[in-house]
Amino acid sequence: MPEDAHALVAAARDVMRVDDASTAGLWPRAAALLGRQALEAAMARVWAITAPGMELMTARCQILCIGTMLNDPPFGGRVAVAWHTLSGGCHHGAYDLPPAAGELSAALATVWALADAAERLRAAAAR
Amino acid sequence: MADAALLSIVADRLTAHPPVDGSGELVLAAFDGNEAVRAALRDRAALVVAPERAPAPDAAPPAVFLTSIEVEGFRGIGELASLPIDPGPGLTLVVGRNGSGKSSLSEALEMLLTGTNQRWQGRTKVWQDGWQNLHHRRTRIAARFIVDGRRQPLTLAREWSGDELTDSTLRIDGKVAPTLEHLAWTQPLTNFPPLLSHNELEHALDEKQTVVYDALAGILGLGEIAEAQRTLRAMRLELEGTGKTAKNAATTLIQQLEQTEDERAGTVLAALRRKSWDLDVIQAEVTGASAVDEHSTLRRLQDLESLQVLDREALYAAIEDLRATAAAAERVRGTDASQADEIARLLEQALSVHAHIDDQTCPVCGTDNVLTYEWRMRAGARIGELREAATEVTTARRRAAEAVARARRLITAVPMALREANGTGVDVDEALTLWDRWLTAPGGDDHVQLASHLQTAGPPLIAAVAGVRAAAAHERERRERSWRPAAEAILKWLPLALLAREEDESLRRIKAAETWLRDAHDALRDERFRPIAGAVQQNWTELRQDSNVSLGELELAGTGNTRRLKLDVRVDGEAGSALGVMSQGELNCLALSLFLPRASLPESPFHFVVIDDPVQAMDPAKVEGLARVLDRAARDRQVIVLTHDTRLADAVDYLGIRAARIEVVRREGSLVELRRVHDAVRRYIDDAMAVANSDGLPPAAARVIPGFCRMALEAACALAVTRRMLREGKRYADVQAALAKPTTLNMWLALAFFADASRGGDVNEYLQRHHPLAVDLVKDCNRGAHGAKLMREPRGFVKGIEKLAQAIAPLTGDA
Repeated sequence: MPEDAHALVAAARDVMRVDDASTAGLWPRAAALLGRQALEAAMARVWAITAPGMELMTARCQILCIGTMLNDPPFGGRVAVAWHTLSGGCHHGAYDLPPAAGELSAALATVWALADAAERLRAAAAR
Repeated sequence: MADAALLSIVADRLTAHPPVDGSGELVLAAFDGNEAVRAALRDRAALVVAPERAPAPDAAPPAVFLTSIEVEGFRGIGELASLPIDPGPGLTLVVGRNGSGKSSLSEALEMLLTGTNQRWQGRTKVWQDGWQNLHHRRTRIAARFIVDGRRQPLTLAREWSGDELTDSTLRIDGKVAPTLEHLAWTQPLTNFPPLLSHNELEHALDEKQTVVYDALAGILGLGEIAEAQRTLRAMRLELEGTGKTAKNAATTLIQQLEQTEDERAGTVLAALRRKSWDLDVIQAEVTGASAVDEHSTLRRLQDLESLQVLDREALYAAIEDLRATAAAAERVRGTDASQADEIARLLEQALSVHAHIDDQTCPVCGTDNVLTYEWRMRAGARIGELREAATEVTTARRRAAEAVARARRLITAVPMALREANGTGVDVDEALTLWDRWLTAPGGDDHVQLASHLQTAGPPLIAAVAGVRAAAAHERERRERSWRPAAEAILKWLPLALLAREEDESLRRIKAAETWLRDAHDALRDERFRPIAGAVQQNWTELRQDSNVSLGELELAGTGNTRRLKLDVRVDGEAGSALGVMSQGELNCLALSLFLPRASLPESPFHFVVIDDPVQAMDPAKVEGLARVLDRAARDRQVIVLTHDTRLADAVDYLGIRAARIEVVRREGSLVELRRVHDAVRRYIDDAMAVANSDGLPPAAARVIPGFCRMALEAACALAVTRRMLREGKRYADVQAALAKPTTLNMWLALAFFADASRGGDVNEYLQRHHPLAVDLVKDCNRGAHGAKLMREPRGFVKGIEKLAQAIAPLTGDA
């Protein structure tokens, strides 16, 4: 059972929101990490219903397909951007700066929407 | 030469809302410059020819697209580097690391078009000297354009012969041309600049408010109105200058006149102190043409000066005469003239009687023999004596009487001037007293008394009157001395004042014309700026993402030195201090938001825009927004973006935006290589291949692949159709219309193959003849688009589609 995508997004938002001295400077990467996990979890739910086995494909392949598989190619574009933002924030390159708060919020909103879509798909399949 | 379309708008407004009387022709004259305004002011009747009704300007001038830029020996580029670009709308990203030479490309294009460069303007020579490439001393920049309605591409080239940046020769289609005016590009280049350098992007909003305003106002096409306003303003300042000088001079004059005793000074002062100077009064006063008031001091002084009094000679003659005639009369005083006369008449009668009657007896006393001859002789002599005596007495008496009359005539009444001399500053009391005494001459016939009166009263009076005359002359002279400098000052001032008065009317008309034109300008400005402001706001909304800065109304406001771009910038809903609250990235976004709508106006012939590194200072969240904004702009413009990192290219990819990508790599010796690595077709193929290459791809997901392949083919068709039609010299509007038709893949292919989207039914036959291997692939694409599963080996399928797409639109494009 994949983790709950909504819960992961909420956790990422908490990390961003909480003013905790211990996470100072770390929170953008922490939030990005949680966000990416949420995205993967949400996609996994979609694959479980639409194309089992897709979760084993490369991230690029999954991202390329998600729009078509949800019958909403523009939304697929948004997911791609969110993916790029979040995974950029996860790798600790020497010169890469962590994503900015605004950028993270936008990406998390997209992931939230993806989690919603996965839920709708699951509900429809259950009926 | 005024813009006829604008003039006719102005003329229409003039008819609809005429300005205050008489300033309408000034408004029109202002469009023809200084001299025309002068003429209209000089001669109100001067016929200002109403502008010809211009036909509505062609809303869309022939569209110009860029097909290549060639640069050699310029800045970072050594050997010839050529950047081919697909003509027609679409987004092209030129990606290269900093220092790869990509900015040299945009700077080269700017140099080519404008002969100068933003980056170097106002810089020192050290900066400017770096323009030539160190590895390659021959400098040439060329660009090719496709122009609506032209079969041959247009080639612009600029070559440098010397080391000076200014030593360049511009060629249009190989022919030397001094400027681009021949193409009528000069004004559009200013109004709708198609190039946005990074420098401009960074500093567009740093400029002075008036500069920002002017840059935007230029696009509104109201430059001529602004110019006309400047003409009127200059004229007004000139006229006001005259008035001011006259006014200042008047102040000095008033001070001088206050120190001047002469009453003319008072009159002039009064005329000067009126609300508007009574110049006619002043002029009359100073030229002496004034109808001098009878009771004016000046007039009275003049009268006193010319006071008439008896002549001394005449006086003495009269006295002498009186005395002489009196003496003569005295001598005959005992003589009874009438008796002598009577006796003489008696004797004459006696002689007469005796002449008739020859008798010697006296008829009176009866004595005989007395009336003898001797008697007759004696009587005759006696008559003579008696007559003479009588005459002498008569004459003496008559003469004496005449002398008295003459003397009395000398005694005239006191002259008015003397009686009304009060306040003239001349003492006339003595003269008056003496004159009164003079009048008290004794009556009667006493010559002696009269003579003695004349003798005693005359000479002092003469002296006193002479004194009065001298005093009056002196007084007048004194006043004149005080007045003369004032009069001279007035005479010097008067022409200026007359000019100012003459110009006062002109000034009033100029001001009315100015007001009218300002109102007209502002109304037109607001009307024309509104759609641009809307597009700017839309861009900003897209670009700001979740920036807490929002942009409300945009307005070009103010005139003269207060003209500015009014931005309603809000931070978290609070009205902010405009630009101060924005980050550099946000400022860049705003500058870009302003630039794109301006460059995309239908009035601009340039259908290409070149933007140098808009991403640099942008925070990553905005890059996605930027990609969308560029995508929207690329729908009807050829958008070429030079960028140093892959963020924008990535965002474009993820968002599924169709774009061509060209990589710039700089090798040693300034060898810049341009490689077209990507375009929309390539991207869809790559995506399809990435999915197809995934081992163990669930069959359910394979349906994604035909979708990408179909999009690749459609993109290839669009590319091919655009290239072909523009090259054939079709108008861009026709291209747009053609591209709007296809709704299915077959229609796209028909458009690409037969230039006719309606021939979708013939596509299969065409494919069978020319691309037999692709027939089934195309069928699969169509099926896949409707959700059917892909029934063949995915990799081979994608490869086959790639081949077909290549055949339809070769990747290398125009290069």
